[in-house]
Amino acid sequence: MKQQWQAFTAEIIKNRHSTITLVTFIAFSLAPLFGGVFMFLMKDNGTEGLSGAFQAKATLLSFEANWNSFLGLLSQAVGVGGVLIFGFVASWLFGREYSDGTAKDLLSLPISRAKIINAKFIYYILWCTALILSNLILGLLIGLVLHLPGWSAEIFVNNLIIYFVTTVLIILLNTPIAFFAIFGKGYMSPLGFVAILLVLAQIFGALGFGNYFPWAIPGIYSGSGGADMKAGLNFFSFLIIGFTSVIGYFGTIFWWKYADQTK
Amino acid sequence: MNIIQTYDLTKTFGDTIAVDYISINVREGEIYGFLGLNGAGKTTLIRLLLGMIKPDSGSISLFGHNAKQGSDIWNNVGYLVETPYAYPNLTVKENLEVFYQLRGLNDRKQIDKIISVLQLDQYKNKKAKYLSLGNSQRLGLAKALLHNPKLLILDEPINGLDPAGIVEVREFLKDLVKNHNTTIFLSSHILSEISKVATRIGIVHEGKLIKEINTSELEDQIIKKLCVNTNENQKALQILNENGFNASINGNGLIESTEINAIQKPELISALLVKYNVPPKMISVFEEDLEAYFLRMIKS
Repeated sequence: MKQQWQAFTAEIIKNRHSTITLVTFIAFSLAPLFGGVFMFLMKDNGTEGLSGAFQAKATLLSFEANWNSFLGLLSQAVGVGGVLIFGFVASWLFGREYSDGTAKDLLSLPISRAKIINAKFIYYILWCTALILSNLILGLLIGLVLHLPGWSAEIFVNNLIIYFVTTVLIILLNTPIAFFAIFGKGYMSPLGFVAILLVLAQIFGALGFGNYFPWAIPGIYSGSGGADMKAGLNFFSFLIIGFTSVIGYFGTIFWWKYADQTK
Repeated sequence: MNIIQTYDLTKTFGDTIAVDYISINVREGEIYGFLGLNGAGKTTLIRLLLGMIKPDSGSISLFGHNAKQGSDIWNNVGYLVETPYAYPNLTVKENLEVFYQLRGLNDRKQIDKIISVLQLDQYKNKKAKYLSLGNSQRLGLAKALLHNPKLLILDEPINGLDPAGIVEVREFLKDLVKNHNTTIFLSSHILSEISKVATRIGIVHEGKLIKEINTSELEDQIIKKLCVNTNENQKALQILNENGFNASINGNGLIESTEINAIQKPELISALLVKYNVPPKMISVFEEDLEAYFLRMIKS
């Protein structure tokens, strides 16, 4: 446990002065900000206040300018944007050691290599948690400023559960991203992998198999595909996410511990 | 006691044999210089020693043990492999703090001490990305030395250092061995440099260890010869041979002798030739330089 704490402390030091941290918070905060604009435009004229694709989407999902829709929107932003932003965080944390050329310095130390990787996973979870908490707080402030109607504790708690479950699903799903960062020796290949996953999530969703494609499931769960798609999720959908996460986690540890490290 | 011991160590990458049945023993208190051209297999051997890559066959022991990942043995080992990189957004001190934590050290003074020893005081709050190549090298050495290791494994440690820095590091390494009982294994592609610091040298070429030699014996291995030119070289050669100096005419038409008496006392040769009326127009002692010796070794 002491060594795990040492590895985690080292990870904290490594991320001091990191501009990437700020960039992820700014990028992720765009979701509640745009959600707020969405609500503001709908406030007086409903979906008529919107135009084009936004109007079609809002109509499809029965959006209204109220707390229920706004909190739902925040969850959907996590469900889709989280794949990208959390994937970016994982790519950076695990790939930077190769991009910075420091991976070799972490390999012959009196601390298990698994603990170094675990420290990164812990830091990754905390980073993502901070991102979703900041978005939640920002979202609540925007909702208050807009005087959105329809607040109730039940609506808040129900949406909060979806918000956090969606977050957990995406956090779990990024262990393969960590693997690709270690396997690809840098943060470019996992970023490419994230981009491919986002495209595939859309394709599988459109084909009606989204409930069995890991990276489409959080978005569907968050409600971004509508109630019908969400109803298609079942036990196996969540089992697939758990399986993907476990494979990704152990794959990362295994590769870091046993593959030849030549960079 | 052997601090490093490898037996028939082999590593291939595809069709390339990077390390080919290398067996070496590095004894306590030695500075073992591992010499080879770029791509000879030096870095691969160092990565094998450090457990970064696995051998195809053969064995490695450090301090008499099979050094497993994460074991305490690694707190007796400091290392620097290839170009020393650091976390670019962290200062020199913060970079060292990372490894202070990872090594589980418990005396923070060690960070300031090594900064001072490597003369990085004025840069300690400077971000690593703004350091010169030489100071980055110093930071790499500081990381390797932070925990006072008993064994230092250094890959091309003087790369990027200016002449003053090279002398400084050389003296520093010698001091570590002399006063702190450290054992050093270092690689380089520059024999003249390695010969100034190493007590023993291993020459590697195309993955094979082709020669091991004590630095003190190096002098005896280097070719030395006396070259003489006169107006009548055939007659001069005959005179030298008749007077007990084994000599011959080389490819350039000059008289050449590897006789130790001739090399050590060229004035005797000169006097002899003058006496027989074939005075030398040119007489010089040629000594093979270390780089030529190194090239001769790998070519043979």
